Amino acid sequence: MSAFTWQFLDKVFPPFSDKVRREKPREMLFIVDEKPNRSTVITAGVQHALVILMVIVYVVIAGRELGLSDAELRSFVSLEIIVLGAVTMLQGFQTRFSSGHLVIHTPSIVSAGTFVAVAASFGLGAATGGLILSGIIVILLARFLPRLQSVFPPEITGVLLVLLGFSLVEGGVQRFTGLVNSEISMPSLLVASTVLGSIVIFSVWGSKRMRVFAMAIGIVAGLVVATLLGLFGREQVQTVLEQPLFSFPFGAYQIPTPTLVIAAAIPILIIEVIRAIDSIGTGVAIDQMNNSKWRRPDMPMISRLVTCHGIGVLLNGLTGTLSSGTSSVSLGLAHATGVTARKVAIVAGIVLIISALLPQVAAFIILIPQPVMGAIIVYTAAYMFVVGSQLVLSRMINTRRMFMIGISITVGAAIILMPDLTANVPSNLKPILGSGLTMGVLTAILLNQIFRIGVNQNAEITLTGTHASSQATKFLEECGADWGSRADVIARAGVAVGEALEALNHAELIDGPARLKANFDEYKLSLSLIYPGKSISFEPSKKLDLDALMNEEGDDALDAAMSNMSGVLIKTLADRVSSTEKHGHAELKLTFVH
Amino acid sequence: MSILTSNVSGVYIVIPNGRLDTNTSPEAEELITDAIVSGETRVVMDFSKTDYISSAGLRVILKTAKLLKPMNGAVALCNANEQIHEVLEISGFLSMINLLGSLDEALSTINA
Repeated sequence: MSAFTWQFLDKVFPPFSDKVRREKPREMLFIVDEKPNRSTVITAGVQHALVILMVIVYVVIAGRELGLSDAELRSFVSLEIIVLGAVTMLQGFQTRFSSGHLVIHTPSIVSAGTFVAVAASFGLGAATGGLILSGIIVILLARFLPRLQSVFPPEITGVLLVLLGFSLVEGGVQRFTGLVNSEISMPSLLVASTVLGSIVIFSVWGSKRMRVFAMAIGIVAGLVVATLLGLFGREQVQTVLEQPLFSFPFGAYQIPTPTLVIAAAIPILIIEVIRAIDSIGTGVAIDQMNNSKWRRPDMPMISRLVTCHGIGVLLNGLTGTLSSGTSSVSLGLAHATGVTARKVAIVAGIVLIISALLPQVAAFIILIPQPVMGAIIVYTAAYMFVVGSQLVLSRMINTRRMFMIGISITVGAAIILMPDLTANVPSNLKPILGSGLTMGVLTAILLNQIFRIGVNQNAEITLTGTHASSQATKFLEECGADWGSRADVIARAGVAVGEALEALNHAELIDGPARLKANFDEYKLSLSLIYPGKSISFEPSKKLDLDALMNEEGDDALDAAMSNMSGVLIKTLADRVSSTEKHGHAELKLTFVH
Repeated sequence: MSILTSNVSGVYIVIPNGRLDTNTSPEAEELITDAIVSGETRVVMDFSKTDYISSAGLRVILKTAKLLKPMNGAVALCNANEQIHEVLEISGFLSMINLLGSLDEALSTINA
């Protein structure tokens, strides 16, 4: 390729880079770039592939809705699994088109409904044409996401994850309890409880090695109980044995010729753009899982993740299969196993592709009892609630943010819990207006933008009297709540300003009231302390020698040590410190990375 | 600022309320010095009601340790919030003075 082509490629799809400094969370065993032993990678990879193969049942249901014959359906399902495997594998590699993380792709339940509805109205070719267009647009949109950080602050992602948890509850609990006509099935309940109980027991009390196997142990335990209760047995095994040993998934299903029908493409495009936004949530969650010192989303990684999401949708369009997206269920599994090493994604992708060539595997997975799947979905919903709530509360709350978060969750929950609310909306709009997840997130984005009106990102206060330090702390807390800053950054800034005021007074460098100016954007908090007097210079940090201080006569050494300590505290708490002096006034600038 | 004090099992407990900074540390230092002069040899500073500590507050802790050293006494800290914990960590105090999670733990440690 020519130099110009490379430059263009670098600009549109920047090369892979990972500058994040991570600290492994205590509960994790192997994070993104760590290299677990082969058996751990294979075990975790197979578990992820199994979870995805279990939700392939939605593809089967959609295929039946499209009127496909058994042979076409087998081919349709296998093609879907191959695309899922290929994109999952790509996510595991460190390329300019992929996240380089353990991100698993799954067929989308929401997109399946839209795909079937559009295909029924406009034909299969129009539906796949819509997917191809959507894939291209999502790929192009991915690079702009880092610039849209203020549109998607962590609390919006938190709302998304909480609603994702809500959206999983009904399907999960229905399968868990086997609920039909208000009757709970005791066998279902027993099987699902066995699975969930096993996952919890091995995740909480199991050894590190056992945790990796928690989900697999849960599934096996559930299958044993299901067999004893007659929910799984000879009939299912017979169905599996009737499948051919090996077959390529091509031929039976005629891949439709894509056509561009605007009316068909619009609903698919809207859903796919929103699902690309969903992928941000997956990216944030996996990013957090890999780093106990997580501060903000790694947007370049998330852009690459969304690019890969778009590639997946494009491949779905080209193969005439249902749209796929990143799996939130797999996040629960990654947490349960404690393994987020990217190599697991590569193995999971390979397992998926191989399983697409072995029809018995897919047949067996499809026959796994529903209560087992229900237990896994319930576990994931519980995990989503906790991670989402943590994100929602990671920023300081004021009245505006309280309404933004509260109203959006209420809107989303209302649509999920009260389907009658959207029963009469036109079918073309149903995928959007009838989705609690979509409407909740759109409400959060809209309210976030509305509530930003009139909030000044600059503020100033004059500090007077002997309580200037507590006055500064209160001022910063109020600003932080208005701006939605992280509470820990505001607290650190308050301590640094208080310490600076003490140091200035102690050194008699300040001759009158000081003005504290604050400026905030999503990336940093900048403070300026302007006062009449002389600038302060901090001496190089000295290591505190307790023994020497204890043995010194009088308190002079103690005072000198504490004077040095002010500088140590300020320089450590702030990410950048500078001091200037002009015309009898001095300015101390403190910058805090946000 | 009000500073609460009590004596449990021969341990002098100091509970600073609010901010322990240049305005309030003279009062805390005076209370602790008086207690040590009166014969107290084991001191626990309980930060359960303290929001903020500055270098002036750190000085009180060091002064307490210095006064207790010739008497073979001991000082321990407990119930620090996240900010106080961070200040103690940055200052290097955590490698020199015991910081415990609760008052009970601090009392057990100092009585051991």
